[in-house]
Amino acid sequence: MSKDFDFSVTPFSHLSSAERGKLSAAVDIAYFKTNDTPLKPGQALDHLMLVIKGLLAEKNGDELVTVHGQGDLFGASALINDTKSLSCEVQEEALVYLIPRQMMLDLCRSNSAFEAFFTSSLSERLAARANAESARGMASFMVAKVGQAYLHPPLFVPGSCTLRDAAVLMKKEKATSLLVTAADGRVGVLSGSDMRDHAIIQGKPLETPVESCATYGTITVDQDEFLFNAQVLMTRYNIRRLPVLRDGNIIGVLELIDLLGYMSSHSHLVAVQVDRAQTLDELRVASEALGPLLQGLHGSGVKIRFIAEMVTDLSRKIQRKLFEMLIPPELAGKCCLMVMGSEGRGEQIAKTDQDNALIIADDIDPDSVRDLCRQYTEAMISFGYPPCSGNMMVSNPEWSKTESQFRDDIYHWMLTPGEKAFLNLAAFIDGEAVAGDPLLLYRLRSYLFQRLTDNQGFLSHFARPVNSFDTPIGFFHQLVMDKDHKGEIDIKKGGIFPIVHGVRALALEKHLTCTSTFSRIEALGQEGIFDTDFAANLVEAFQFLMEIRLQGRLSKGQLSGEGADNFVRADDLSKFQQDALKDSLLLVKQFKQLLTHHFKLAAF
Amino acid sequence: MKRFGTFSSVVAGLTTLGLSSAAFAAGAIDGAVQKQATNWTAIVMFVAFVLATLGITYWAASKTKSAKDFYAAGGGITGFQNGLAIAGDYMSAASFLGIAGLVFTAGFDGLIYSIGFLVGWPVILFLVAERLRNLGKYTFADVASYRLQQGPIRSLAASGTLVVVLLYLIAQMVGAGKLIQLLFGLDYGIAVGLVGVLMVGYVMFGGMLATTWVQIIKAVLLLSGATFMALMVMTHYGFSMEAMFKHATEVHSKGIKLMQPGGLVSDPVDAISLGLALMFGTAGLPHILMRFFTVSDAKEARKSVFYATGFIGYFYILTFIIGFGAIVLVLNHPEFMAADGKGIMGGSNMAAIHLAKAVGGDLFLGFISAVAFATILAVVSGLTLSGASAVSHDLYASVWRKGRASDADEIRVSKITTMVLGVLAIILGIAFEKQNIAFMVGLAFSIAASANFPVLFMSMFWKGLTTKGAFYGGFAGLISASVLVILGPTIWKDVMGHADALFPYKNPAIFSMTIAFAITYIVSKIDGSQTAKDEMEAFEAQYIRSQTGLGAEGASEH
Repeated sequence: MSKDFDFSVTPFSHLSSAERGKLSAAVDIAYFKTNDTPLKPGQALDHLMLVIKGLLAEKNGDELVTVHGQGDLFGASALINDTKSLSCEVQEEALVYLIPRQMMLDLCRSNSAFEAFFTSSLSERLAARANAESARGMASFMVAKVGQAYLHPPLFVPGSCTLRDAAVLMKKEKATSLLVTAADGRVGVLSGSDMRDHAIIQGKPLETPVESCATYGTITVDQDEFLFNAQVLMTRYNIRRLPVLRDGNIIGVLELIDLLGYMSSHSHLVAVQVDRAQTLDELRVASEALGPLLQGLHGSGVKIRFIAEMVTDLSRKIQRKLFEMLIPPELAGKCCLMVMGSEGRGEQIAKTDQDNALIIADDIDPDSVRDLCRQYTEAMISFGYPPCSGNMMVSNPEWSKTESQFRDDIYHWMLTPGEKAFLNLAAFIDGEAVAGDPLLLYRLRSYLFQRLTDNQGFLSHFARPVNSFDTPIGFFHQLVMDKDHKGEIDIKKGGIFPIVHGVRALALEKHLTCTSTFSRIEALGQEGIFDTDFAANLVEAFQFLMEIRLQGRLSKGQLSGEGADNFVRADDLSKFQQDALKDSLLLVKQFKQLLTHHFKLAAF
Repeated sequence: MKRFGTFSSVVAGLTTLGLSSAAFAAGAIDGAVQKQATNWTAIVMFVAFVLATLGITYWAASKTKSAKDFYAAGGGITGFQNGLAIAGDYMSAASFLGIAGLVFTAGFDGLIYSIGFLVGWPVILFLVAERLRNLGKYTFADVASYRLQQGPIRSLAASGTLVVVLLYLIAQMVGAGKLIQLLFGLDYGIAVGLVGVLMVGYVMFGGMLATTWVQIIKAVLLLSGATFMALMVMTHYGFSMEAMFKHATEVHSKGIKLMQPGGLVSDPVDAISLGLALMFGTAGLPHILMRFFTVSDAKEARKSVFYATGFIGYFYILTFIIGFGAIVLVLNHPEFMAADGKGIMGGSNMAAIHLAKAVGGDLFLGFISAVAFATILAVVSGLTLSGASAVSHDLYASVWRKGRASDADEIRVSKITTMVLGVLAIILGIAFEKQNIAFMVGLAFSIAASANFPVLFMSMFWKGLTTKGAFYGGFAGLISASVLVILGPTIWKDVMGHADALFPYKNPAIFSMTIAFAITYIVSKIDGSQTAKDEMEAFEAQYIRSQTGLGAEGASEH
């Protein structure tokens, strides 16, 4: 009967096979009719119930705590904490696994990961999930072959070569090790630390042949070997590099640092390519490399926050380079290229719409740079950055103005608040200087802050759109599907936008100059707006929402910015992700309540 | 009354509960506490309309939560919408039931309240609306502490707000309690308790509803209901006021005196005092000041006062007609009279409710009761929110925790305050059962005019105002007004049962406002401290801001 127990559901997936055996033997299945009360108030709970089918209502006294559906656990916390006031009512005929209380307690005692599931807070649970994800990323890393990683070209020296010559060669070739062919045909490795040991510590003369300093019996690895095994070898023998063989011949050297940075080395390569680019074409080639890199990173288990940071760095590098190529140096110091919106916040995870503007010093005629601005936008489009639908680009004269003209704009945004003004203001507040003279942007920003000091009324109007959309979580903590998109949830309107915009409004009130939502949340925590737990939970929730949006886009093949939507199919999420999504949306709801209080939005 | 039989017959046709009106009259046998037999038709209509009102409100609120574009909510509420919402906030049960009741008992003199309440609006229009919006502040405390010290000013503001809120709440509780008592035949105490519990529940769980929409819907319903009643009364007399007045003087015990001034407030000092309170009190009402926060700019703020004044003025004309309508159609009609012969069932506060039945039958009675009840719930929730915010933000966060409380803490304190206010409102609502509710609101206005208005006014217009001046002047106004109300006839004699009042006037505003202004001025003048000089210095920045809406540099941060 209990053979079919589904161990893929967390926390049971944490159990060892011995523990699974014990559990399978002890578990029972029970059936309840609608309106049965498997647990009456005051009755001790002696089984934990895992719902196979149906709905169980959990009540505390008369108050409905939550409703458990398929795959949910009933009574976990009560079982561990020994609460008595809980009761259970069957809302829809149900089939449940009964897991004896003693069994659960034994398992908690013997398996800390299992116990942690029941005791941890939201942020811990989300972090646990992120760890599980990165373990999965490890898995894809594990199937990668040695030959796919960056291999240093082999540098062979004869055994008779002197230590000094070897050092000179290493410096010249920027190598960290050499391969030494001894007179007897053996091949050894001579590394920087070998040199240190022999020449400096043992005081051998610099003319000593390297033959006597290299390490022999060198462990090698075949190029078709798993990278994972290469790492095991390095760890076991405490070495930092491995010669790589093909058909028995050394074709290169795998360095530990390259192995660990297998993913990030790609980003480094792109960066180097960008730096070296001399022409627009070369820059385009470099920017095209960003695509495959992102594809590799998504699903690698790397936290989305760090992916975003990396994408942002590279995108800005590309734009800075493009700016330098197009704008003559005498002009470059007199204007400031800024990126805005998600690009400004550093939260883009793909080549998203361009949102950029050019602030020009007052003594330059903005019309004189129109042509350059147009070239800039065209180049960006050719690099794969789609044009902004709101036309927030330097090619638009509205967004390529002198400092005083922008100052007037800001003044009008504040004076006549409205949809357009808030859209522009929100984008502007998230702006970051990418190239040129950043002072132009800082002066405008401090003007904005100064004008808005103590203007509660304006800030409240500005913050008000956070309540423009319902958060898709219902009264019974169930996910609420979108009306026009069956079975899907708009993750942006429901979760990401309220967090981003609410945090932005608070940041504007507190005059924070940082632009990323993550760093704003942390800074607001220090200002005392959030307590530490809330700030940590909000960061985790935001990160999680961004992750499942990305996952949704990947599954629909919408990695490029164009045509990407914000809908996530609930069925595509694992049970664990659904739980995390509910937790995150509940936190969004709580955050909206906090904003409603803070900005007095209830008055509207 | 044949003309108005249609409503009743429809009801009788729809339901099998046509016996209601007989039961209504027969049940009034309990003497002074007039318990009624159950009027099922009216109750069903009442519940249906209350639910419908809440449903419409919920629907409107959900509309605002499914915007098409991200920043569509930017720009605030339009002047017209806000004007209706202000009218909704202001046309409380007190105005509707209370003024109709006053006209019903005192005739022409009932107008003194209508006019007083109305004249408050031009005062707001010319003195505060635009400046308040430009300063971008939410409460009177926020405005006054713009350039003055947070601690003392917020303690003062919170105290003033709480007293006003409490008095205003009592009036609403009495109105709602009477209504429920009359309609459901419950004990008054139980009725008030029920209303209190509903009120706390509404604020706790409905606080997130779009307040503006609640008020707009309420205003529209109340205006249409009152218009219908007034029209029905007028058709009765072929739209001739003269005929109606003539008939009224014939049936009312006051006779021709009904049409003469002096019937309600005979003492000239009392009359002027009341007038002052009503005129300047409006500008000191915390839940009204909030409404200038929701429009996008000063122009819309002015517009909203313009529209609000229009709606409110129209509404008071209606209540005047309704009051006279009650004299001719309710007074001396046996089905509405109390069993002991002393006045109508439920007291004069219920005159408008009885008239609803007289002109529209049980169906319309249910409708008007539901609208009045929904009105009370909405006004009460606005009041409770202001009171809770005064305690949680001003007293707790700014004074007690010196600005170091998190928003989560504030929310917690605000919930506790709501509970406490609910309990207080129930207890006081029972104690003030016999008072006319328009009069109770008048008292709330006296306090607002004596404590909040002088400080608000001087902080915006007088450069020389200092923290000390505002603090002592404001408290002098608050304490003198409160003490004079307690020593006056209303509480000392009527509620506490002493033989004679220690203070002869019912309305203290003329004295307490003078005291407040004088002390504020004198203390500010003799305050020679450095902070006082800095505060006068800061007036310039505040003034520019209040005129232009944009901050000059160096304004205070909090």
